[in-house]
Amino acid sequence: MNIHTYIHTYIPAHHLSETDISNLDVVSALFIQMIILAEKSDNFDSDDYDGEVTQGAYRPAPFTDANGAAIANACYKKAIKCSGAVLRLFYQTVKPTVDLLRPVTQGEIHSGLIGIPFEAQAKSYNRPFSDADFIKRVDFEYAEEDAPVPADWTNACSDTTPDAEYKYTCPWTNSIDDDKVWVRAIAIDDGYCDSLLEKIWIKIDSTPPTVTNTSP
Amino acid sequence: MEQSQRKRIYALLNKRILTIILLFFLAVGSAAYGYGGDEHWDITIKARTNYRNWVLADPDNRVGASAVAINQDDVASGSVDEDYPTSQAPWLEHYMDPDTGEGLWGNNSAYDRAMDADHWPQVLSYYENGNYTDAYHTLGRVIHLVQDMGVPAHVLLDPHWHLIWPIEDPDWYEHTYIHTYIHTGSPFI
Repeated sequence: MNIHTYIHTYIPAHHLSETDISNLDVVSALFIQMIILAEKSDNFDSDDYDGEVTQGAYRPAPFTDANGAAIANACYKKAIKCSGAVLRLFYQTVKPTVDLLRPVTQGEIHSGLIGIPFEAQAKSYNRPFSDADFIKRVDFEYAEEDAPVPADWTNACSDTTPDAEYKYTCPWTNSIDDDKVWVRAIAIDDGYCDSLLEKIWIKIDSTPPTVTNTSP
Repeated sequence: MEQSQRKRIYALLNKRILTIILLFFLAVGSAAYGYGGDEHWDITIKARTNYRNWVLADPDNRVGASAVAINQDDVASGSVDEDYPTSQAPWLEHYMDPDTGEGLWGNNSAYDRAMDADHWPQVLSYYENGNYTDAYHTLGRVIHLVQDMGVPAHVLLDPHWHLIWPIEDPDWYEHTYIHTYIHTGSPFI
């Protein structure tokens, strides 16, 4: 599916009202961003938009019609959403993981996490990017292939009681196996990259790193 | 022309050239940012507010409200300060071509910068050591880089100069639309 077909499949006529924009999830917002960058594509009908071509690249400048404003609005809202995604990654995944699993090779484990909002913001511009992509990517980096989702996750974590410091009392660390722990990016429903994050399961090796004491 | 005259002329030319070069780098060094400071602050605060509101809507089952409330200004100020480091022009590393992963003019991409030792790993290091203020401030720097990825010029490796008028090539979205939007509340100009 080329970008032109893709845009018209998911954003019919790409004429969005302010209400439409407000209801966009981040994936849809990314599709709007794709519209902006689609000017690079020969497939795109550039007559639909005002704009200028500078150094071979498209800029939304100046958007003086409703379409242009809607696109600029989408860029702005997407920046808020993906900023929220970083916060969420930290508060809901990284922070509790660090709290619970110290000492773990945190830098190595979490370094890839931050790539998720980056990809959501930039890397997905020029091609379809679905929930499945994210799941696949995260699984690829953080879990063994076909690793089982813990069957008792729902029950085990239904009693989770976060305190002010965001620590869980979930028994997962003992319920899966000896040296692995599951951490889940908690699903939420308010429009922050939800469809991207809610299905992410991350399997982390909780074995403490080998420490070599080099001091005399 | 006497040699002494030529030397004076050369010296004068050299001074002017140096001045021009200096002005150029001063101008460029303060230009071609992503959003301005106000815009980064605004976007970060809105993201934080949305997150906090979501948590507070169901505080028994959602987590992070206290952390968000305590560290909100640290995150926001970090998102502004990312444009003002000490060593080099930071904006050179605030770009990324999503097709190639490359940054502007061979510099590190925004993602590379977010992953360098002064950013994401530093967030974790600060946090692990209980230095929460710096952890959240640095987290704000990472968020700044993500925000820049929403600016078309930053993913098209378009430096959108802001030299001395009329030597400029600004990005309308970044410097007119968003600025107007934030300061007037109107989505249209």
